[in-house]
Amino acid sequence: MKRSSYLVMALVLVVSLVLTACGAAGPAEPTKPAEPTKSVEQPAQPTDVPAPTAESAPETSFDWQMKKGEKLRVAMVSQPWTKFLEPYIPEFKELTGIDITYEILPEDQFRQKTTTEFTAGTSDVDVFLSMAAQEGIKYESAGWYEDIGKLAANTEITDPNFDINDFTASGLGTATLSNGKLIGLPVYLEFGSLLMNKALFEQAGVPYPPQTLEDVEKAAAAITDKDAGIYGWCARGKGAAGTSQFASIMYAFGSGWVDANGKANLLDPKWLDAMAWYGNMLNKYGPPGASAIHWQQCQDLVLQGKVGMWLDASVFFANLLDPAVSTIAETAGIAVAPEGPGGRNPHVASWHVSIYSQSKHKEAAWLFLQWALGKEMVLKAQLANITTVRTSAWESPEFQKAGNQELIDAFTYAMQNGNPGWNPPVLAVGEARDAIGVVIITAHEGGDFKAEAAKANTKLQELIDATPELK
Amino acid sequence: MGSLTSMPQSSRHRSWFRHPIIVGLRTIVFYALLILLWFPFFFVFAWMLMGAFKNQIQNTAIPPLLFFTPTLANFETVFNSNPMVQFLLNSTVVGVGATLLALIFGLPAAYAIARYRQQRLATAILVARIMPGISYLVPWFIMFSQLKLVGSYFTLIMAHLIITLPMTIWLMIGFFEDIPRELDEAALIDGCNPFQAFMQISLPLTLPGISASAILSFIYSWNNFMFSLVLANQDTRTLPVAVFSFISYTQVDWGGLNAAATIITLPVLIMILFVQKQMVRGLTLGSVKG
Repeated sequence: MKRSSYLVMALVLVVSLVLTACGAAGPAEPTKPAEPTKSVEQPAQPTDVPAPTAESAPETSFDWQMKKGEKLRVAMVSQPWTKFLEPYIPEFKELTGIDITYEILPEDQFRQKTTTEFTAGTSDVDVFLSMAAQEGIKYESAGWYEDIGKLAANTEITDPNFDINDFTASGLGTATLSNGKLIGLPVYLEFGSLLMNKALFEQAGVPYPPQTLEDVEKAAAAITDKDAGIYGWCARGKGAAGTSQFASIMYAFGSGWVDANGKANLLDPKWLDAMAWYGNMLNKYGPPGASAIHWQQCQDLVLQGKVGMWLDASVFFANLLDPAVSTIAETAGIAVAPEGPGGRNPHVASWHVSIYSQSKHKEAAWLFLQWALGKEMVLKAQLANITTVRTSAWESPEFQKAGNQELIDAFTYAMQNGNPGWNPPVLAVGEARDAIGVVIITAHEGGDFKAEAAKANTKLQELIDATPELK
Repeated sequence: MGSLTSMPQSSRHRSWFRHPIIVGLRTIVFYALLILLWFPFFFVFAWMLMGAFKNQIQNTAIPPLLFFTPTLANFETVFNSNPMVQFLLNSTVVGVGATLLALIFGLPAAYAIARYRQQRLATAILVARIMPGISYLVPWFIMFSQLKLVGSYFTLIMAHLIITLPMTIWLMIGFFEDIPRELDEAALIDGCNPFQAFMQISLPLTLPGISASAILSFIYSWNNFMFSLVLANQDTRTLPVAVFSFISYTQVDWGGLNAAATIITLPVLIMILFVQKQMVRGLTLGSVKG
């Protein structure tokens, strides 16, 4: 009897260990790429930017060396532009005589570190990367952003060749809050897009590129062959992670997070139609386990040639084209997120470089921004496949020759028609996304998502009521 | 095939148990279960090692590749893109420092708690460990930045004490309680003062426990990411930060990440191989009875 009880115990132990260990051994969930941001409010006005007119290059006292000997601490998120810039940092030191500590961290860890430091109020960060639509209201309410518009208006410290009006209006809009304050200079713009594998379109014999929601669904149906592990469609199904990309579909159906009066709008029939479409596509044509799918999972499948269309931010296109990581570099395609009854208005988002309001080196920090986002560096970034927001870079002959034509077309369209409202306009963006995320999961699992939408609507309204008016 | 016992002679009261076929079956079942138990731990490790030698396309292949042409490129990336030697040094300084301080303060504390029945004190110390580490970060940052100490080894070591000290104390309470009071009393009668009794009698008797808690402290400190993230600067960052530098906004470099993880795991693994016996003995002696 003793022996058999040993056996039972051992079996139980084995089973439980296998179960728990398998759970733990599963693919570690990579950090969530917060969406590309956009300013939370309705298309933020590009603000009346005080323009230092460049043409005449008036005699000013501007001198790159004016802050020689100061020291800056620059905190960046690990992403293509910040990595692009890193090797050029010594050039800035040489140009200005300003010493720089340039730190790069993954997004989640970056937010943890900077918010801890800013909350403590004793941080020595001078320059940091931020997303207005994700944290703009929160940071602005806490008073952490320096007013970039004011710095740009000061000709004493602004390079006459800087020309802030060379930034596209939509680009500056992504870094402008509802109170009209410009809180940073946009680094690049990304938009809701369809990232595609043309080879699968050809194989399935469906027309490329799909333009409308119907085209997309037809193509997805034709391409999907689940037995062969080929999926016509991929999109984020992992709750809160999906809300940003869902926004492009929401706008295609002509709906929005809030109605004209600023009230929560999730029970709008058009909003519910959009959610039904989003859930249905994932359910019918997407890979299994949609509730766990974030951009990493989609991207891995896409890069391995298993997915026809992937709805996500355009920033990933550079990876699709990179033969070092992609098996579909030759056949990758991109288009703006599809057109629906409400038009074709993909969400647009950007990271922007901001100056910490408590910085002791604000003018040196402004010199850094002018250098990092001056015409010359931006053109270099543009040629390195970063979708910058300076008109001069897009129109430069070098880029017109070298750029991917599909990307240029889609980007040009998105710059003019994009909607920066990829997040609900509330202070507690995370909570709002969590609430809406539940609706997304219920929708693709085929549950009663309308009931969940009602709950999320109530929650969203509470969050809207709790959001302070920006001054 | 009824038994799991690995020692066949223990079943001598039933003769069929010693039948060769039964013995063979029992051995097979025993090892099968052993492998099952061992597999999950080994799998994670093997996955990391394999990933470290694959390129990105191989790493995301569906289904996963078991056979592939290995590459050393990931290790090159790790060493070229990060000051790994500096990180290793930082981790070592912080880990050793936090462990030593935990022993210096923790051993007498555990002894006092065990000998003088300070249960409330013990609970208070445990609460410090139960509190989520992140809740300490803001006050610490304010404190250390006012002292202009952010980014120093001193700050990191002090922060890591919140991990190592409670663990050392709690592990050691059990060990000290196991030592018969009479030994201490005898020492006192022979002319030791209480401190000498602690140093010369109790400490040598708890060596296995001390080494176990030292090793565990060191490992926890070695793997800690959050405190180093906020309280270290560019020059004092510790190893786990290196792993995270392979996760970016648009891509997870699985190869680099696994290579860095391998490099971080190796020193600890080697250390454990050397002190394994001490540690297992320490753990079974203390925790089971504590």
